Amino acid sequence: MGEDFLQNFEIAIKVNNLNLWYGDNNALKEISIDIPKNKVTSLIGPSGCGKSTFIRCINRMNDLVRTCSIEGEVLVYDEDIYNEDIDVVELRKKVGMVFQKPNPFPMSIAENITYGPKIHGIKNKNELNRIVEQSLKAAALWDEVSDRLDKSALDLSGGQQQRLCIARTLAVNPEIILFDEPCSALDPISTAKIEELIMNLKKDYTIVIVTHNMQQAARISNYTAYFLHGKIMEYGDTEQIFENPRVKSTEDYITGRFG
Amino acid sequence: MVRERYENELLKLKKKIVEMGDMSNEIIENGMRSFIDLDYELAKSTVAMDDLIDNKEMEVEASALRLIALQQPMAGDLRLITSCLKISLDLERMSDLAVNIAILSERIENSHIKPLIDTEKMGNIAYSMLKDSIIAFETSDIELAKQTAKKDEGIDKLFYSVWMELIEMMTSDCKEGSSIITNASNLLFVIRYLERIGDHACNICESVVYMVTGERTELN
Repeated sequence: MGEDFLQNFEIAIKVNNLNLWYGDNNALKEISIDIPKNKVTSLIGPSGCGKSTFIRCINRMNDLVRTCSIEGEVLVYDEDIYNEDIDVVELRKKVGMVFQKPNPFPMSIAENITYGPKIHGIKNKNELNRIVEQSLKAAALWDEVSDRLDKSALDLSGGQQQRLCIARTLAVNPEIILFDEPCSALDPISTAKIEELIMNLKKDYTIVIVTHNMQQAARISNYTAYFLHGKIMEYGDTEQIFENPRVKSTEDYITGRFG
Repeated sequence: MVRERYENELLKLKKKIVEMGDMSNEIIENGMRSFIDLDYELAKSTVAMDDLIDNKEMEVEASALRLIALQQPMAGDLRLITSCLKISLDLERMSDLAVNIAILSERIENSHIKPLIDTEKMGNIAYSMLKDSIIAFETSDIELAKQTAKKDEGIDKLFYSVWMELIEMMTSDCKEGSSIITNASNLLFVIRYLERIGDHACNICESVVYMVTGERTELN
């Protein structure tokens, strides 16, 4: 998209003229956007506007939808991820995802973390232990669970489970993390912890977050894109979008006039 | 309409500022009249009116804080609310200055040292600036806000010319027992207060421009 406000940043994700259909329904229309490295970019818009569909294009989660077809380019660090040579498992290691509802595996806390690294070939026990500790610390969960790593992850609270899912994502050492409404099922304290965590994670990761919480987008993101009817209506500095949006429908949405 | 209650609260807040603007205009007009005519009764009622304006400012603050806390306003709504908070402060300060002018009417010994033609002109420009800045706020008219702020130059010019004239009067006639020094220095305060009232009206115009466009500008 070549926005002026991104001129001095390295671009992690570059999307050019992306169109997506579910059957005949054109759910994403001519999406072009540059997402900068090591920043938090939030995607906002009313339900059904295409933001979750869009985020799922970045790690090819939409491949799992049978009726879905895609045109255009999605480049992750200049590599077209829809190229047929791409190893999708490798792609999803590089581009991790955290979902709306925490979805820990029905295993122990430690096994949740080591599941990914094991799939990617790490067998050394010391190395796996190191990954468990490092990932849980990075997800701000270590202090709460270090004495019960062998206990079931399903016994954790909702907020802890969501941080475990973030730790599980971090365990495979991704470069980009996609968050699809990560706090919508959490209480305010757990939400605050996740927000704090996301702000800390941006030092090392590029973060894209879908949220319905305007204040959350305003608090934690550097850049915000507003989606409506499958199009990006406005994209800019978060401060500009929330203080002085240029497009009337952005203003109407963020001030709660519709959506 | 989505968020009808919220829309109504925003409109009510806006209306409070317009009412406060009318009250401030009245207090400035009365303060000036009491000083020019040395009308002590009017001066007293001007001083008493200040409490009403202080209460209105508190009402504006309470409404604005309630909206921020309960409605999480964004974009244009947030700019409107923050502008209302700033404008109410300016109006409150203008009213305090008008009270100061009214109080000084009681300190003038015998009669004014000179006809207050330019001082009255300053007062007239100050009312019209305040009146127009509030109309600009009410109608979101940034052109009117910009034109209104320009009138401040007129007040500033008159301020310097009266100031110089008063210094000359004080230096040329400083005999013992003369009331010139007392009356001239009181008048100096009055013109200084009027000059400050003009500056506050400019601040209101700047708040209007920010409220409408999101741009922070210096208009004087």
